[in-house]
Amino acid sequence: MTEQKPLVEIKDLNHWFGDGDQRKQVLRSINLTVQPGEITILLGPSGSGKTTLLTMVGGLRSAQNGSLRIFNEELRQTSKTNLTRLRRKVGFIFQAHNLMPYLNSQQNVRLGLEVVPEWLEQGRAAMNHRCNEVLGQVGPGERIDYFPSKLSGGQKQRVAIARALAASPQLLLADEPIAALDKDSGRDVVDLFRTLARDNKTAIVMVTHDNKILDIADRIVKLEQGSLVE
Amino acid sequence: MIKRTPIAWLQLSHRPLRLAAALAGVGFANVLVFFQLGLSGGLYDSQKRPIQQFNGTLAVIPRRYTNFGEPAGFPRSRLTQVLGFQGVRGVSPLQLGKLQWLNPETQASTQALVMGVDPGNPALMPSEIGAQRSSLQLQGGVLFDKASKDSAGPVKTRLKQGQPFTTELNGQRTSVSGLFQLGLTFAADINLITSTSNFQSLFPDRDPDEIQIGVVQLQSDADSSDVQSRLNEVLGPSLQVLSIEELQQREVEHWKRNTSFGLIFGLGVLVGFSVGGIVVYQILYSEVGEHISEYATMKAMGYDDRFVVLIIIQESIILASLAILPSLIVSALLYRVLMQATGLLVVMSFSRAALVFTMTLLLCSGSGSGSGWLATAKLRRLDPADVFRA
Repeated sequence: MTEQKPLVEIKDLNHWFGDGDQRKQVLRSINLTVQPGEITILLGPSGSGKTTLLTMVGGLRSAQNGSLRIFNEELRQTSKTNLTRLRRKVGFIFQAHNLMPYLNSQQNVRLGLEVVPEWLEQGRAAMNHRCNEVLGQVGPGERIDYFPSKLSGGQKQRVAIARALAASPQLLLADEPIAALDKDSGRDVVDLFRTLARDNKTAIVMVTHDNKILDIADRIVKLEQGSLVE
Repeated sequence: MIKRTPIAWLQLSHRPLRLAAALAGVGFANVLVFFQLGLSGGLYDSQKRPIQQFNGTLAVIPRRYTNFGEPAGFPRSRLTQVLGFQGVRGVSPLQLGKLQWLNPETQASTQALVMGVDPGNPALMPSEIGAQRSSLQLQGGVLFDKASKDSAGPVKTRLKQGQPFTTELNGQRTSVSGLFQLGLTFAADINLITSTSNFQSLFPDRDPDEIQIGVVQLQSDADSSDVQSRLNEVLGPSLQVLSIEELQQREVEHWKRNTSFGLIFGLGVLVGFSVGGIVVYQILYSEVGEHISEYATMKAMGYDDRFVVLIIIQESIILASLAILPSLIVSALLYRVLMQATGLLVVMSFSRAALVFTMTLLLCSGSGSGSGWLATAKLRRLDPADVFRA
């Protein structure tokens, strides 16, 4: 069996916020690899650097020191254009769902497809078909024409999850993805994550405070004051 | 086929009241610019009105001619010379001069532009001149422009009541024998038309052989540019033959370039565009602020700066397109009020509407320096990591 290349490879990563006297180190010598199909859960108290690490892995922040590679590309000195390109290969689930209030559920999910040139080329009908399919998988399939203002918190979060999953990303980053869901819905979503990891080899990095879903993790890593405790 | 979701339109139309407020803002900016352009255009167009009423195709003027109100003269015989050219059907002399008109009720003087025409072949063609040919020939009689300022006295009222109106023009007793409609220029507050013989009486110091402009009528099959070019060759350097359109353009250029009017009206239009630009900038800036977290989310998803900036530019194009029609209607009404109040020729033209629409689009979208670009600077600096809560 050939050895797989890790989708995320972090070596000796340090990160600071602020300048001069205000400079504060938020990540210290982080070393982490995430393989395709692996589910990694990030735990840690508030302010420990979980979200900062997640945003750096997603190419939302540039690495200042050390090495951070995703999809076998170094992010430390890469261009803004390349970062944007790499983000298209990553599925993001934001804690605050971040849906567009002027788009209905289907349009919000389609936004996650239209950013991918291959999907855009397939046209509106193909994209709508995929949107309906993934909305059906995560829950609010019957509410495809509802605007976020007409959806409950849990339904909004499921639309946001559908948006992140629509383009079948190889890497899924999730910040408290089931915090707004009830127990059963949350379990459905994490089961879906597990299926994605197993069947599609999607690598998943998830920040959560919910101990009930730790069972799906292949690896649990803990951040304390910017340092990784595995 | 449109593949992408029309984000700009959906974002705008999602909140109709906010869209209406934005349209009102862009519309206000448009009306402001239309007003300035209408005012300056009206003032310049008004200078062309007497020339537009010339009864001919070409005009002979002395080389030293500056503008309609201050023309130099040339011998009438030079105009007679033109009659001999192939293609020329007739010529009409026009004499011009300024005198002080006395308002008999207030004893105040106002400057009047006196135009002397041949009653048998008038150089000007308002229909009232032909109809009042006999009145023109009365000794000391003048026709009075209905557009003249009220400071002239109750001329129109008296004549409408069938009463005579007699006053002094340069100290000479003069009676108004009829009315005509031409429109005022910067030259004077009152326009008068009289016969060449009366003109001579009013300007006794003038050489009776001197005229200021010669109006040339051509035969129906004549090529006007050919005749113009031959006349220019033959009449020599002291005279110049222009088409009526060229003379109008020259009049406007004079007021634009040789007087402070050009600067004043130019600045007015500039201020109009600037204020309009600021209004549009505020609208777009507020629009960006309103949706900033959504744009950050898009950037986090992999949409590039160009995509989010294009949303704002598309929004500005939509706003400009939707605002132009109501702006045109309001501006046309405003022009009507302005025209009635001032007598200026303020009319909406297709070219002006197209100019304002184009300028609004440029101001909104800004290919590098406009409001749209400035408003989206915040977007280009936006850090997509902000969408994650720390």
